[in-house]
Amino acid sequence: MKARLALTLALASLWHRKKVLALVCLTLTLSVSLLLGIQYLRTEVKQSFTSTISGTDLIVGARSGQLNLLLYTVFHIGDATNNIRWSTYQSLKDDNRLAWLIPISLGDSYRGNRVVATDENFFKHFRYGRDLPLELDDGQWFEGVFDVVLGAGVARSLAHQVGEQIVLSHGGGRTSFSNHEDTPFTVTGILAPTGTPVDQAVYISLDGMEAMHVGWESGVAIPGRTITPEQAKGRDFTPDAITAAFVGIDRQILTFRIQREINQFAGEPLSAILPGVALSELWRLMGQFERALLGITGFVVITSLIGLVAVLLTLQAQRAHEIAVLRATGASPALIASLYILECVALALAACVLALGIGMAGVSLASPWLLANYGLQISLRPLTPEEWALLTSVPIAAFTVALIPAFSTWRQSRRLGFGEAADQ
Amino acid sequence: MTPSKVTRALLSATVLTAGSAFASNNPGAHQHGHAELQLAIDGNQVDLIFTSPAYNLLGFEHRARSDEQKALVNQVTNWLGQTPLTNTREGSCTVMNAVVHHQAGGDDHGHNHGHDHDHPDESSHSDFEVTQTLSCPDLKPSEALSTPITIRFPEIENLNVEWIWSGGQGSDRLGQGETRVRPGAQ
Repeated sequence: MKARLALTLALASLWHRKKVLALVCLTLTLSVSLLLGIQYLRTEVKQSFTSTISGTDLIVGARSGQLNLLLYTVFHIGDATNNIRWSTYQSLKDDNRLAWLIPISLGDSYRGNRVVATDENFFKHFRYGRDLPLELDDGQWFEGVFDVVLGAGVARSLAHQVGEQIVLSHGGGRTSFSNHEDTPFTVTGILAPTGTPVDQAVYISLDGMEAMHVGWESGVAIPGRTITPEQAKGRDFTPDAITAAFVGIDRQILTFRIQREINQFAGEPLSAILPGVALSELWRLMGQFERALLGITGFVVITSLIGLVAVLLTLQAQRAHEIAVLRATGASPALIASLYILECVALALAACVLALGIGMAGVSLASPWLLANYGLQISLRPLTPEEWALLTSVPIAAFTVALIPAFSTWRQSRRLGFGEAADQ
Repeated sequence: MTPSKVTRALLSATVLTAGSAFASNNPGAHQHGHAELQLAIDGNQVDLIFTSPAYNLLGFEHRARSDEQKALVNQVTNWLGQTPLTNTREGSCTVMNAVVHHQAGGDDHGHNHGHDHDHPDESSHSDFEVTQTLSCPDLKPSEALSTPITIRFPEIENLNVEWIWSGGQGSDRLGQGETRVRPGAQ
């Protein structure tokens, strides 16, 4: 009976002050959205980073540290110190424990974007995110020697379309003076955005990489010795070396053994790394960044809760008359205290539900735009246990905070002198 | 340069060239206080490789000389051969197969196939390498796995744990006394 009365009174009181309460609710909703948003972003950025490459069991390159190999093959940062021989690549290919190999040859660039020479296995087997394959937005994967496929970011920033001809530059760097002008490439396809470094590269065949370097010596084209696309037809462009290879293994349980064998390969010094392991190592190095975001989340929590207290205490100041009337009509101090608690918790719950709604709508609306414009991959996913804990902490905090005005009102209303009568 | 110095220089040059001719055989890194545990998880089976400098496990790296040292080597080798080096929370893993390689000497017995390599001309460093195949009936890789290594060998200041399971690859670094890794947390 008492609970029902408290509920009816609380609702009536809420309705009476609906404008002020709507504003309070809005403030709370914004705080909770910010709190959840930062926490969500923190986990999503980590997820997006650690899934830059997935499905690839090993990356094999010339001997170097695992971070270096990962940086130049996957992130296109830095350069390879050495290459691996084509014969070594062939002998890896003959190993039937390896399901597939993607050869990678680096060294040239297109207006500051890496040129990656590879084969059709890159399109077929490369995975990123949660096992997502590459997709073409337009056109098809390269087939001819002078075909090129552009990453989404390159195509967007340079406004290229399928069918255009582009001239690749020799070596890295944004402004290169030695261009492969005799051997222009035709854009045959444009990849869909992935939110990974794949977007910032252009893809050609290994044959194309060899063909455009015919007649080049010491980084300079010798006039008359380079070949034209017509002359390239029917020629064999098997390379001498490649930069690295991505490897998929049939039985993943063998990964460490195969890694060990490749590291001890007698033919030439090789390094095989586990991309997932190297990525988590790299993320640990960048742990400061995650800690900074965690710190921000902490501050947001504290600020939101202090804001909550301030807002609720202000509300209480406005209710002196209402309390006096309630007491005069015979409401017990306990009933009045429970009114406060009900109100605060209800407000907090409403704010949480609203914040969840806003968050979900925001993520689903903004994620395609973020991916297309900033290459950030943020997808809608169920909340993690930590996020649920954070969310439930809001009504719990509201309950605790409500105890302060509830207790002081209870004391004040007793002091009004009706205390004894009401208790009877 | 005196003739003897020339000879010495030539000799060392020869040694250097001989070394670089087999660049794929660089000596492996060897860092005291540091060890590596690699876990490959497939269904209920775990294949693991544990490598550590002998110093972390024994407190010395030379061949066991005294009886005490020999006993210690045997004790450690037996422990490494019989104890699952990773386990579920319930401790359900059993060792199906284990191989312990080391160069510390001592007598080998028991079911672990301790190999007594004798490489007198190699460097004074020596390593332990343990491979185990475990069967863990109710293994859920998304839950935490524990390892007794950091407790049993407090000389290991950091243990680099790498893992592969159906959910992907990852790694973590355990400090002294830390025993839990969570492949599923990534």
